[in-house]
Amino acid sequence: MILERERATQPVEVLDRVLDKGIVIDAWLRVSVGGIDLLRVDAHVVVASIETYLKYTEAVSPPEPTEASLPSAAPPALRTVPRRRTAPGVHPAAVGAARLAHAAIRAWNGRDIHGYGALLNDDYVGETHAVPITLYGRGAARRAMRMKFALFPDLKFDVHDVVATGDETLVSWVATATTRGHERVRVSGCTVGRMRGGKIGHTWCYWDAREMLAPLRARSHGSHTLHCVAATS
Amino acid sequence: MDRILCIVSRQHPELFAYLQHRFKDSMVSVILDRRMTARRRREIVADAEERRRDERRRRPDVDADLLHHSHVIVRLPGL
Repeated sequence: MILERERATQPVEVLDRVLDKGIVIDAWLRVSVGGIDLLRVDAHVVVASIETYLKYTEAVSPPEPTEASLPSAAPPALRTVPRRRTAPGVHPAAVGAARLAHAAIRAWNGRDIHGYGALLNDDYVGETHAVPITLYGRGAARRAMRMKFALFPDLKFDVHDVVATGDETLVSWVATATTRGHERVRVSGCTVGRMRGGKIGHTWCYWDAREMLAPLRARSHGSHTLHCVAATS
Repeated sequence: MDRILCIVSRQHPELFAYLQHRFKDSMVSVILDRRMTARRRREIVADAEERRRDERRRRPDVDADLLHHSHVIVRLPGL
């Protein structure tokens, strides 16, 4: 006869399991009266051993852009390997911000409208230098993204540099696309982002409109295209 | 810690104003590219001392990037 007795779990075993596998606690609390937030707490806590943390962080971090990933059409001066993303000794928030910025670019290049929206904060605000139209919330951002893909089905961003300092990021990029009129356009610009609660809270986008319009103006279709881009940014 | 310079082309004053405001309290220094064009530089730079100072200021890679970009990021190590 075999007797099986349930053995009580010792605290040291729990601790060993936590350090080996890790625990992620993602919690938020909001207290509001009449639509006004009185208290808001966002908590993202990871408990694990350093070895486990490093193992999984490496697995989920975005791949380093390589020279081969840059557009071959770019001038030689631009075809440089991007510099290190963050300076040594930077605050962990800056590392997280840089990762979010890379994830956003991956979502754009992967046509992942839902995924991009998931990176945005509830109170996301999106602005551009070109038009006084501001996007409020994930829904508006997703609609604008969808419209851009309708106008430029092969829109692609090549990241040339990412600077992250605190919660602020500066992503320098070159975008290439083909218009519905089969015109090839290329424009350089940047996106300044601010992170809030582990997500993208605000973006301000700038691009060199003259550079983009140069080949289009030559064929006298430029003004229409600019209007479309401006209205959906 | 690296010092990060964001050099903005003179053709993009709006970008310069925004970045300067946004990164004013950070480790990123935003500056406007005030350097002269190569032709004007040749006309003005006469004596040897001026020439040496001019050579130090010139960054061929940055100059080339600013021809095609509104801004360039430069990292100055160990400052």
